[in-house]
Amino acid sequence: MSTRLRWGVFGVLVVVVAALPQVLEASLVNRLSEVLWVAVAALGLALLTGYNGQISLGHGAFVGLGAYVTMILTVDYGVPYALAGLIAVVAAFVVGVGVGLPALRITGVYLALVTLGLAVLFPQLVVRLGDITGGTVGRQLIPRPGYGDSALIDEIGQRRYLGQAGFRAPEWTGLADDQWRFYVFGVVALVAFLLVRNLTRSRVGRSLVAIRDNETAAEVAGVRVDRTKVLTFGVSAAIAAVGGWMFAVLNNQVSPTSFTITLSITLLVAAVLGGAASIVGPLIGATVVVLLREVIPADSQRYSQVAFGVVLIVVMLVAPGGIVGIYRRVEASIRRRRPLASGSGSSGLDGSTDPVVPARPQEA
Amino acid sequence: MELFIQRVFDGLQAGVIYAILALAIVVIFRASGLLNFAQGELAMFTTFIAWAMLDAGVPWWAATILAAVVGFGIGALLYRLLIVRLGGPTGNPLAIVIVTIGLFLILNDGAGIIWGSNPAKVPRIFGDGRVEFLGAGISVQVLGLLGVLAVLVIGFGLLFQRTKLGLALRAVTSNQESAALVGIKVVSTLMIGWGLAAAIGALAGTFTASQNSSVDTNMMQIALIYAFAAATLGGFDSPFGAVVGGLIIGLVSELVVGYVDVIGPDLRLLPGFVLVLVVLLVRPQGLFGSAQVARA
Repeated sequence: MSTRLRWGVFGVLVVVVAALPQVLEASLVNRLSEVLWVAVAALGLALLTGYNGQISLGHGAFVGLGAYVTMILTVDYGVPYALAGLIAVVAAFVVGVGVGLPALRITGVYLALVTLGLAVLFPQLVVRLGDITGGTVGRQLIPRPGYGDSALIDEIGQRRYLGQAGFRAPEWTGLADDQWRFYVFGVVALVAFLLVRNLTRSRVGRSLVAIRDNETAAEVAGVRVDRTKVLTFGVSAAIAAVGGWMFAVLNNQVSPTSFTITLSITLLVAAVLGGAASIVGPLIGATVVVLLREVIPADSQRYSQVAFGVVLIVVMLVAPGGIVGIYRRVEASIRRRRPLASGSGSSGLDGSTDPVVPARPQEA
Repeated sequence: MELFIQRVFDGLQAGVIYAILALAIVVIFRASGLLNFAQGELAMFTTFIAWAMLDAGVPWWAATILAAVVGFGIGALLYRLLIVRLGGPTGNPLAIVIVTIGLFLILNDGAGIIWGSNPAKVPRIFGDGRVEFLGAGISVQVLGLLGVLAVLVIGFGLLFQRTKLGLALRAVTSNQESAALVGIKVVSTLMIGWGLAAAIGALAGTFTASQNSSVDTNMMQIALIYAFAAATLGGFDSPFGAVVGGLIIGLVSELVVGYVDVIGPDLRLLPGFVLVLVVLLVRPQGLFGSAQVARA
């Protein structure tokens, strides 16, 4: 597609999606909001794994961190939602850099291993810090009367005083809460996706891919490998935390069972299925993952895990570039068939960095 | 003092299982340079097969051996049908990690769908006896497993260092193309490697089930994390290291959880995790592993 056509399609899509909350019922709007938070979290993982080649099986922990920081700040300290989100993002960036530092010496499958440990450790840590996290049962962002322990409910009045009446639509908008939330999520997701898109098309983005494809060669070419990798880890964790903020705002409750290894694997499925080395890939993947869970009836919910497993294996065998990779291949073959049809078209330097799953550098 | 010795014994009891599973991880790594994240679930799956045989009237020890044989077949087939297509040892690590994660999901839920997710009862393979020693009790089961572990580690040490198959396995890992040039059948060799690992995994699974007196679909997940920690600590290419690593991880976890209140049972996984991080940062090849040099 030519650049102009791309932006055209993008514009139409934004308008259509923006119209959806006006026609859908609240539960479906919330489902769309769920797609958005999964997409943003998967985007963070895609930046790290797809573009930079650092495998993380622990990104669910960063989503959890974002959700918990948001919950604790808004409930216990009366911090407004937007500010709580910002602080959560900064916190996740710092923790991400902290994890990224040892990741310099741990690569490939070993990194997958350590991050797997992180994923398993996070819920345990939450339970251990039960005094502020609420332990195994978790806590609500705004406890409803009649729910939870009475001490918390007594605090509601105080929290109202702090201006924390939940994530409500402002009156001037005339929107229902679910619609308002979806629009806010849409804007947040749009900003995140545009930022990552611009990042991957910049000099930094090219150095990410260079490191992924051949670290030594990248170093020789003047890429500052260590700094780039650590910062990528931090940024990736920060984006995942944005997903966590959205999770907390959407569900109004956080508990450790939401942030187990299953979440980390779900994010991986979303990123890989859509196409980990692409910008729209995580969004497509997240849509499919959420839809898949929705389509499977509750009494056979367990089959969804088997389905995810099969999807992962089939994608890796048949189309390692995911859905976006298939699209790129089809587009490339059409372009080959009519080579001089259009003078514009993509220059090949627009950041569509095939091959999506790189060859492993040769080892002696 | 008695409490200390009891904790040491408990640590050993857990450590034996980590050691056996770590041995499976090391065998796959030695044979193909890969890590199999589905190793634990594969072990769980074959344990359910053993349990099904037990249910059909086969003695538990025979079912254990048969499960190991079946495990060998499954492991070899997985390599032949899936991993080969991803390029085997020279494939992209991300693709292989993702495929083994896919297998993890399928095996975990598959076992639940076939056999149900409620724990099923199994007997102890070495009986229920206990021996009093230094004022604390250690079960005959643990002593028996330590014996099995010793046999396994010596056996695999000999296999890798003294046999033609072991040489072929090492050659394939170090350089697939050169190995093929000197006449080694690369794919069959790797199938044997994956088969052996799955067979050991099956043993680890049935032993775990014996120790818990039950099988359930989630029994190997935490054990797998510890086993990875054990293999990292001991060195991914050293069978002996895996065993030492497994026992150390078992002991350290038990003692730290027992004596450090800040950590306590809630954070059971933390000591192992920290140990792995430190090892990877200070001595990435592990205690008994050999260092690798990366070249462009």
